[in-house]
Amino acid sequence: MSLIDHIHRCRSADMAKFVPWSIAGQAVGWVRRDVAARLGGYPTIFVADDKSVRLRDHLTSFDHRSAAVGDVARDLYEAGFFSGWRNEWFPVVTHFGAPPLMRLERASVPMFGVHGYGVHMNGFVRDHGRLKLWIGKRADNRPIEPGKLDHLVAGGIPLGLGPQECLVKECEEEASIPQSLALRAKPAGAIHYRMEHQGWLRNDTMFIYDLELPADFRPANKDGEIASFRMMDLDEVESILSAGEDFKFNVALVLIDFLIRHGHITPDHSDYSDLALGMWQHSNAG
Amino acid sequence: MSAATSSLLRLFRRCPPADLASYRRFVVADRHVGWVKPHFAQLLAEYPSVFYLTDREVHLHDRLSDVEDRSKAVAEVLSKLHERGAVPGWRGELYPVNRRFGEAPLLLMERAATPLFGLQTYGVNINGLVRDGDDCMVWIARRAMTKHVDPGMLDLVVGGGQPYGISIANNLLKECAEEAGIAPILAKHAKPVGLTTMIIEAAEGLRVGVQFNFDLALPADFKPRNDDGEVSEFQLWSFARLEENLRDADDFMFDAALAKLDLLVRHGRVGPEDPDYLDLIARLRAPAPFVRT
Repeated sequence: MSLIDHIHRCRSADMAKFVPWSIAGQAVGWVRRDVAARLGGYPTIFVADDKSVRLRDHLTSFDHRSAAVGDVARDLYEAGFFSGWRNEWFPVVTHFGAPPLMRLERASVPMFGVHGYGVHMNGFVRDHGRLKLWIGKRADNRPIEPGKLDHLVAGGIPLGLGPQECLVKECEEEASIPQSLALRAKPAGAIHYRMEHQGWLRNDTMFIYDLELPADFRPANKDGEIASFRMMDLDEVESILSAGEDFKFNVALVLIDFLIRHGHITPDHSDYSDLALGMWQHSNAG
Repeated sequence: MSAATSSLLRLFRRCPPADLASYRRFVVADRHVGWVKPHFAQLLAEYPSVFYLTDREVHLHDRLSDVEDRSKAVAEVLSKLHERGAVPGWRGELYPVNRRFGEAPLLLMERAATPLFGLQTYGVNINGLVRDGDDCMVWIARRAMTKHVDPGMLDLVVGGGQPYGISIANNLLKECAEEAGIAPILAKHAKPVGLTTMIIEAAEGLRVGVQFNFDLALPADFKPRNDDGEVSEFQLWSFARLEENLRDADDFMFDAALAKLDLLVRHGRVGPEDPDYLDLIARLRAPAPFVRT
């Protein structure tokens, strides 16, 4: 495996398998053809054919849309289409920062193929001028990528929170980083990819933050999502990335981006330009 | 950030997206490597042993099968076109023709001709930074009023094209010494931080650029120095002043402005609270406009 394979892995979506769906004429996501057919079975809520799915125009408010689609999601959940109902709400938006058109149960987001936004934070320390990263190991009971290596802090941005608020909350829950320290995290860019994962579309954008931590800082997980933490130097991070898929799929991209931004991967790397430009998947390019 | 603040997308509005429909694809050995304007394509068609035109493409003749033959044949044509005034600004520097940095070149071509063929070219840029407590300051150059292109505009402290046959690292040392008097002992600490890309229509044709960006921490008492008369002055700016300028003015050359925007994004000066954040990031990493074959 080489570093570039992590980018290919996260760009695996074959959009021909999906049809777009829209609310009030605005594209909001992509659903698999079998899901589109299933949504067509709710003719008071959706209009579906083999090219597109539209939410019925009589559903004009956030509340009406959320309630109607929420009932459909619950049906499909009970029919076994997806699992892991979480009672967390994610916004459905046309672009980041736009007013949400409705909300969706978090576990149904991949089935509806709506754009999901998250925060990922690289927590690092400086040791005699060399950077070291705090790396977590995901708990074995996580529904997605159990046991894989992960960031110190990462999470999806739920309805009602901005990226920084979400980051502060996750810092506390995932690593016991106090707000005063979490607010020192610096935004450092964003990564976008479209991936098929467990048969669903993940249309994801991650806001990246870097937080320099004091040498004596020790993370402690509170929400049970991370089993353990340890510190790695950048050579070790790169060699694990080069060896295989020990890191969660999207964490690999954030780490490659970190290694590029901090000069650890240099222009003499044979894939430098594809790695550096690979962090943003444009809709008109592979 | 108040709602009244001007958008950083201003930079991209300065150069609207290229209308590629008005160009012909330039194809070498079945690979799409550039875009040629119709009037220049007609000039190339006058040299049928080297170039031939199809419906929407300009091809390098297939009998030219290796990098030496192609480079030599194209150089002869370009030299004649230069004498006819069709290749202005001859530089005497060879650039590689490929679709990806580091890929073996299909041919080498005179730098001045690269926009006429819409080729992808590479360059290096160094952000000269000075720590100021928790913040950073950045050195800015102003181009001399005697410069032919963009006189008086703000520019990178160190930036230059990447010719064939020199490594990025060595080119960086050379440009640092020539353009700002930064000695190798300082310049070698420049840290590569990623790439920015640009696709802009210029008078001569399409400019497709990939810029290798570096951050270089400079001592507080260091002053850049230009000996070749191309820079009228250097100024040390705060990130706040840089951001304000990029929002409200068109003072920077385009490629310099891209590099400075990337600097503000990487250092967290511009963050997700900016409504254009994701748009800006996507535009800094525009993919090369070539059809994959």
